Amino acid sequence: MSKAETTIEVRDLTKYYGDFQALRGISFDVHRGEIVGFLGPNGAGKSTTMKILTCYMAATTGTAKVMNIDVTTDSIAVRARIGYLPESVPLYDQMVVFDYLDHLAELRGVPSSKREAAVTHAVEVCGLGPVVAKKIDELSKGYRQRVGLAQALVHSPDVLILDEPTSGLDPNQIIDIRELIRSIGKEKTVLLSTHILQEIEVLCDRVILINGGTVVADGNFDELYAAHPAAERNLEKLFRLLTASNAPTPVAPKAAAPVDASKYLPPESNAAPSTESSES
Amino acid sequence: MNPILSIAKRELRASFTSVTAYIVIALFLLIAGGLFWLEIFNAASTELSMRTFFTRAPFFLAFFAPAISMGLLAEEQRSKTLELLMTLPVTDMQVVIGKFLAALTLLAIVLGATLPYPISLASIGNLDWGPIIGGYVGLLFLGSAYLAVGVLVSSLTRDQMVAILVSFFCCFLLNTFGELASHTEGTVAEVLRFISTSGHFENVSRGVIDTRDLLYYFTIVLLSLSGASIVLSRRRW
Amino acid sequence: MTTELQTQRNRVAKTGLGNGLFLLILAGVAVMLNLVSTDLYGRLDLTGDHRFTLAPASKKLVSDLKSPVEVKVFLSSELPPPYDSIQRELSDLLSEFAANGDGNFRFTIVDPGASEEDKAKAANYGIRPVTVGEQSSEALSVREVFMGLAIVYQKPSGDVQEVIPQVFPGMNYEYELTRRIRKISSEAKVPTVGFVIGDGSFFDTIISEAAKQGGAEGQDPAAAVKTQLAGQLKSQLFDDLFSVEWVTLDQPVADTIDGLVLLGPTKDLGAAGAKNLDAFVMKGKGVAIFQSPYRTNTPDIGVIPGMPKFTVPEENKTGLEGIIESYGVTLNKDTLIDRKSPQVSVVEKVVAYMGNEPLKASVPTLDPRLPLMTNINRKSLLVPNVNLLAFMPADRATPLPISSLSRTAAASAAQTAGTLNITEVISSAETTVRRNNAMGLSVEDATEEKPDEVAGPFPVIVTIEGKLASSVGNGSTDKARLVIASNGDFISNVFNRNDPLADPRTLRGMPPALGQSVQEYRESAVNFLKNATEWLVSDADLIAIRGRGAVAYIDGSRLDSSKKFTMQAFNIVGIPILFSLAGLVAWQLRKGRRAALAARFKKAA
Repeated sequence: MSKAETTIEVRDLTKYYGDFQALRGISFDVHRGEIVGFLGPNGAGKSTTMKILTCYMAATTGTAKVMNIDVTTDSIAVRARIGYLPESVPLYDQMVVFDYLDHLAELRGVPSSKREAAVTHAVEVCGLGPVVAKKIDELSKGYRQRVGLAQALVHSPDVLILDEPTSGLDPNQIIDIRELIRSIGKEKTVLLSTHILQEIEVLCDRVILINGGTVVADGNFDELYAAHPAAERNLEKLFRLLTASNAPTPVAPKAAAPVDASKYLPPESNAAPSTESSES
Repeated sequence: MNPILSIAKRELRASFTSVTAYIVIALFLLIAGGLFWLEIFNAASTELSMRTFFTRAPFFLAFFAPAISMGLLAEEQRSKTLELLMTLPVTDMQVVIGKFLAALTLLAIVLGATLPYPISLASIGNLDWGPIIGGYVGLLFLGSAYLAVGVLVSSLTRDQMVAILVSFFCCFLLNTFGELASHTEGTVAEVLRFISTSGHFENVSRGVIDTRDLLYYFTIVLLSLSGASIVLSRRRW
Repeated sequence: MTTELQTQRNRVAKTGLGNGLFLLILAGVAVMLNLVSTDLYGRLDLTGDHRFTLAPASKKLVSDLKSPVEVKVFLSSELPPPYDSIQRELSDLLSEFAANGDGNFRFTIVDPGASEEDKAKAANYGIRPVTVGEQSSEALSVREVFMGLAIVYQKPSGDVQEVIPQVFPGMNYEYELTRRIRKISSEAKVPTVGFVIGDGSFFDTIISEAAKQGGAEGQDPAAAVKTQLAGQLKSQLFDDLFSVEWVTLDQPVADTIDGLVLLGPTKDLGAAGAKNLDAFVMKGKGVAIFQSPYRTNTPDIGVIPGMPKFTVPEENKTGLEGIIESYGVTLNKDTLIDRKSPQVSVVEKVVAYMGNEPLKASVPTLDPRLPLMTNINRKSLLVPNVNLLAFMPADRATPLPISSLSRTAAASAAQTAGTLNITEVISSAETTVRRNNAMGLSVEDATEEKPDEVAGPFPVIVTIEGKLASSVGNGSTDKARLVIASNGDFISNVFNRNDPLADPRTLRGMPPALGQSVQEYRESAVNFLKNATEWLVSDADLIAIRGRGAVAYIDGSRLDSSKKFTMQAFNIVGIPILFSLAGLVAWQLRKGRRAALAARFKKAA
């Protein structure tokens, strides 16, 4: 894997929300053709890392590069190469699905000559055909999620960052979406966060597990299970082992783990890696 | 297409999809038209001009502009689409300008819908178009100032009601600074009079386009929009 | 960790500071630009007559100045509306003057409220504070303010000055300034207006009545009255910008006279009078004739002394009607009647009998014989500040008919040929009708319709300009300038102590639609006399400035009630409905588009 081109490069990322430290020095690489599962308990810093990578937020210290472009120095160029599905699916309720995708393709710089094909492709791969002429507020939760996914890949980005892409979907839809992600992952880079461990197992080539703002494990399943025999080749056990509140956190000496993050957050920001906000 | 235009186009389309917008605009046209046209034939000899319309218009705009601008950024924040918008290859200023242009276009369309007034007047007498053109240009500039302030307010909250109320307040304040000025003295009065939108509008509506007035409106728009852009970028920290 | 926290805090603080600084710098630059622009600016005047741009005559005047002119404006600051616009309008105009003045035009605007010294200076120029009402949040208060200006022409031989003690919003500042600067800066004498007497006019009546009261010992009372009256006219009517002289037509009019006014002549001019007047017109000078085709007469029966005199109407033959006719305008011997919107007059009526003696009283009555003159030609330079004219007869007991004017056939031909221009300035309302030869018409007669009536409107005041041949075969002129009015009472009433308009009984009976104050009728009449005289004696450049800023009024003659209604209905209700319909259409189009979209993807699937 190390031979493939590095598409995401994160070095010593830290992030404070006020006095609360959400990231305590995170480093990892992701390569082209990889589907990486971003794992960790609520408040571990998954969403924060993703927000830094997508240029929604700036890190306190450290660097992050996407396609070898720094997110702080040339953020617009980074944003053009990323497809992002935030945790809460950002949809304009009054828009027709097709128009919404068309608008986002336009904003993401798809030239007008190729836009219709791009939107049609996104509609087809996400199975949005039956609802393409509907207003978004008429859609079921599953379709809304798919529209969100469609907007993230409508411009066929090099890097796809998905914050809980399958939440709210029924098993059939989940399988479809996984198929989709898998096929995208062959050529692009996919970084996805989820709480469904089984999804990681079937979908991901590699897992990055973070807890308390630090990377506690990074590698493919074999590597991880080899390093932590106590997990008995079980991802669930591995997760418990590495992220339970009493577990030792290697890089965070003064981690007083369960901090109520929400009170440090700016009120407008839903960027919170807060303990309540994640499941939706 | 330029992202600014793309954002403006989406916003404008959204406005014209909403039934509420049609109701508000139709009501605005009804009230503005009624006040102007019911009055104009009453007096024994009435001036052939739109003076009464343009005198009242700043007051109307102080109501109408906040109604247009209230949702621009507040709604994006409420529906979390702002997070998406801020991760698109678009700068914060482009977002703000796009929103502002959409609101200004909407206002221009509504003002355009009152163009039959001067056309009707021209059919019954020798209408001087100069002050009419000046009046409309003045309304657009005044509207720009109000809308820009509205965009700034809208960037500060996710609640549309808060946005509209605070914008009302700001617009009325801007409108009445001139009045306040007459109760104070010296430099304070001068400054208040300068900040007030009403004096600048009066000049344009006479039919004289003056660089001083344009610069004033431009200043308000520039400061407000820059402010809104900074408010958005503060979110990134 | 703490260093990172520190970094974050510093960074937040720094960006905060940076943003704040950015906004501050932006605001600073903006304020600087705005400050700079108060002196350095451009403007685009969109008005049809460029009324906010200096006229060529004014530009030439200030650029040709030989000695410096300084305008000192004494203007209180923070004036309440509507006076608040004066400051900027004046300073804009004065800046324009200064820009064209090659350093010979300077101005200062001071607020005399601040210092006693300035107040004293203002008082020195005769500028005194005036009281204006000011609406504050609680109560209406009054305030003493200064709104005057002095123009000082610094000639080598000493300063000459002109003062406008009080300006008002809507004043034609440029006209007022230009004509005053002209007066003091040029060697030319001020124009002279001649008021004709000895022709049985209104002025004759005043002078003879005043003379009867007697004067000081050893003085000719009539001469004293004439001097006093001329002085009043000069200062009050013409702001000392014209001089006033009395003129009799029994000898040729002096060359010093620039214009003549004949206000209600009732005596025969005679052949010499006609010749002299015609010669004056042929010199290209202006004449205004306010003459009715009728006059009142109090015949001297002289049989029984002490018997009450009575007044009868009769034709007014002065010889002027012939001259006017030869110039192209006929003074019709007709009566204008307006039954639809009659004015109120106070009519002497027999209310009871005491034995055989009729007992008369003055009763306010709706009088169709008093038509309103609502058709004001706004293109004329004579009416910029004339809004409402009512022709009230001077003699209530014997009201004379209001008559119309018309063009002669020859004049119509000349007008078509383009050599002569007869302009209708004021006409009666649409609702007036015209009846021929109805000299002694009573209210009752006028109320009844007659078959020979013709519907109006009819002109009552016209101007004649252009090429005219002498009425007595004595050459011709290309520059004739005449004002002809079929009535003079509407002006003389203003100067008359027995002004029927001032009669409270008339006031009370006025229809609410014409609720304008009597003051407005009187102002309109006086303004008309002022404008007409200025038009007669001034040069065209000044007149052109005078006419600018004239507001257009809604032309009543082109509007009937159904057109009004259609216009109101369309603009009030029609536009919102059309707008909503457009919305419906857009909605349908969107529906269609969505259906097409759905079909396309269905097919594809």
